[in-house]
Amino acid sequence: MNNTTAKIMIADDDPGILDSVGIMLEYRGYEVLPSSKNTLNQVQAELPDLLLLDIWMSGQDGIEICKALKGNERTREMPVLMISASRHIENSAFDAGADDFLAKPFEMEQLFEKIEYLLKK
Amino acid sequence: MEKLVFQEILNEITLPFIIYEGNDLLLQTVNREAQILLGISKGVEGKPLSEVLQAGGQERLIDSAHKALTSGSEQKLQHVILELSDNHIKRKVQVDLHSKPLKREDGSVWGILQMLKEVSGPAVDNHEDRKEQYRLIALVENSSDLIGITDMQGNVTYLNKAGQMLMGASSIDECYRPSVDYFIYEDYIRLRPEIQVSMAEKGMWRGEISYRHFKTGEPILCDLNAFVITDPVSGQPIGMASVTRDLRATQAARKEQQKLFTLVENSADLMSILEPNGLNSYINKAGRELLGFESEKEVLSTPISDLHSPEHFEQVSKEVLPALEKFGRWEGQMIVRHLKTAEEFPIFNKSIRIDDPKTGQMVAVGALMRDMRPELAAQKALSDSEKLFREITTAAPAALWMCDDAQRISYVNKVWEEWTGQPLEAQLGEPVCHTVLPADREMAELKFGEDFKDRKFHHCQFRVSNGNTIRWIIRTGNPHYDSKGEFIGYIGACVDITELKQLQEQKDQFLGIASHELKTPVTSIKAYTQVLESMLRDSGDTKKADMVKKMDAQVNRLINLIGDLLDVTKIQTGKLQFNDRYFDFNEMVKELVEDVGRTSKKHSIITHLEETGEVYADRERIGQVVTNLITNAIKYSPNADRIEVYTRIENNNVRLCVQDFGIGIPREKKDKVFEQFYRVSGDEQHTFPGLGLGLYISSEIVKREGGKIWVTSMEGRGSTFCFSIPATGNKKND
Repeated sequence: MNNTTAKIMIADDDPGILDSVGIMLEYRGYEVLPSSKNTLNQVQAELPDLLLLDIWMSGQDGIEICKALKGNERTREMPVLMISASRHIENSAFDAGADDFLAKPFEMEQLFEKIEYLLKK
Repeated sequence: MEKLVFQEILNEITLPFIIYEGNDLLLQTVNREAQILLGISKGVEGKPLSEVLQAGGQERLIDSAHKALTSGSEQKLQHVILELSDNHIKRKVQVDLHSKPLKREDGSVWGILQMLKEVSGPAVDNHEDRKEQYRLIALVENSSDLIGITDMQGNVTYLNKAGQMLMGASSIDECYRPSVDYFIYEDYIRLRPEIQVSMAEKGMWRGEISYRHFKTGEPILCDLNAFVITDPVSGQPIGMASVTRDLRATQAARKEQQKLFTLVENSADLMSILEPNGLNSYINKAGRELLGFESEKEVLSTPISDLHSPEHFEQVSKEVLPALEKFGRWEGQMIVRHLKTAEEFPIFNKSIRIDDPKTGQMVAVGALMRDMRPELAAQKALSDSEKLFREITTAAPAALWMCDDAQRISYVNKVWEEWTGQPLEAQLGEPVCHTVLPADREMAELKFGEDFKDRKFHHCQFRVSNGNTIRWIIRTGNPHYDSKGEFIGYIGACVDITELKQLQEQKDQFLGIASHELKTPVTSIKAYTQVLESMLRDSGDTKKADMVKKMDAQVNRLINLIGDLLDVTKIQTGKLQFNDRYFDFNEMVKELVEDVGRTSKKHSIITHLEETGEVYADRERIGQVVTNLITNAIKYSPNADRIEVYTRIENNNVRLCVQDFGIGIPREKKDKVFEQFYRVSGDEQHTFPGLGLGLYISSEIVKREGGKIWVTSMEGRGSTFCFSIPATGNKKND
């Protein structure tokens, strides 16, 4: 239960994920920042401690957002944990600069382990 | 010279005489008259008389000469009967014998002159007749027929040279034996009564009888002409003479003739001989039946014009006969008419002119004919069958193809022409896969080549195009053999599966999207259940927390099912992803055994892990296989309490085996367990849930990682599932 004060932004176009994962993270003590339709701008404005980024979102491309964040000096060090229902896209995520990848559906314990590891880094 | 003149003078002396010389009484001169009388030949000078007159009669002559020699005085004997034998004919001669010593000047005897004056008597031959008899004997002796004489007791007393040769006798002495010895005994017994009656009544018998070779016992069929010899004075029978001719050559010829006749008579083809008068002298059995003859006699009286309608007889008279006249032969088709039913039918006729070898004139026409109806019917059936085949192949919705033993196209139907946009003529002789789209051709050629080499059922999918439409095709084919069992190529069909392919693609897309879309809400459900469980547990409501945990387990089952469906879709679309990297194989196995072990309280999973080191593969996918094998082992051994897991390195491959002690797999179903949707059926199995995809996915993963998977099992005793993958990895990732 380290880094409980850390701000985690969840970028996913599915309200169910946003809500359920948000509740879980809050229950674990994190501050949850739900994303808007323009994730990139919001991240750059709010600078969360970690971004949980879905890859396929309607109107937004997670890969491109990741590339942009990793290409920007202000956001380069911010850990990005990419999530997707498509496991085969894992390599693309890492190629885009993601710090880690988690395939949906996942165990919450897996998610917490990865978040804690990335925040410690 | 003087000696010759002297000899000639001596020969001219009509009195038979002999001059003996020396104490051994060697013959010095035998004049011509003496040679005739005694039946001896010239050139006997210097020999003793005993050597010359072997058959008898010499004793009296030598005795007389010897007495004259020893006494030195003349010896005269009257009416001396000499028993002589000329060429084996015995005869008696009566002579007055006068032996006179020939003396030198000193009175010593140097030789004997012996004169033989023939005198006639009742028991001896007449001197004048004998010359004629001698000629007759020479004739008989040298006859090519067997000539023999038998006495009244049935003993043979004479047999000429031809007879001795036929019977295999080495000398005349062998021939002096009872006549029964001359014949095959059964033949002799069979014919004897007939011969005896005929001899008694007619004085002769003639017929065929089998002689028996003295040495070999071989039967010799002969024509025997026997007749009684009577005494000219008393008229009483004094013996029997026989003239016999060897019939073996004739018999052989007769047999050959019979064989030939049987062959001709029983030939399935019609054979006939036509005489110049327009009548057949012979038509064989097949011909008589074919043309409606009721007897051989009817053949002889029916003119050939009756065997044709007037219209068709014109061909015979205007074409066939002139051709035979001119060229000696004719062959072709003609129409004949059945004598009784008047039915007309075609025959193939091959006629040749038969000429008299001496005059060269045509004496007959030999004809060989064949009923053409079966042949024409067969041709028509074949033609109809070909027509039907073409109509069927044209009407068939499938494309049909054939190739020869060099993999070259020998036939394609209209459908294939349409699908490929190439006419049959352009495809004949081309390689079987030449119309396959270039992108699929190499694969199709490889597959066909392998099947062709092993002469096995061919099955392949590829695309073809006619320029407008691209079609997906399933081509099947089987090896084709001729009536002698010789391999002559392949014959098969092609089916258009374009629609099926499209449906398959749609299904795959749907499953892909559906399972992907399912994962998102499932992720939410998992999050809610897990947070709910945490909340309930934190609030101390363990009972509700446990229920929510069970709900989470059920969600996990749902996730696995969705995962399997998605994997199958990916396998079929070739989109199964592999992220190969190095990992510790045993480490992974231990983790999974621990994870799966938590799900079964009943089974303990016992590991036997030999050092495997790191392998290069997709850890997740290989882990999926291991998990599948262990969960299956638990699932299908409900009454057992342990599972054994083994790992080892073998031939640079990592091998893992999972052994259970459960229900096992029937031998005949062992190979099917790795097939898609296959589930072990049976009474007990109804209770085992699942889609039947786990082992299929596992086998595909192992194959894609360059490994193999297999099972050994005994029904009722349990199964051992194993897989092996290269330890150094398979770099062929998708």
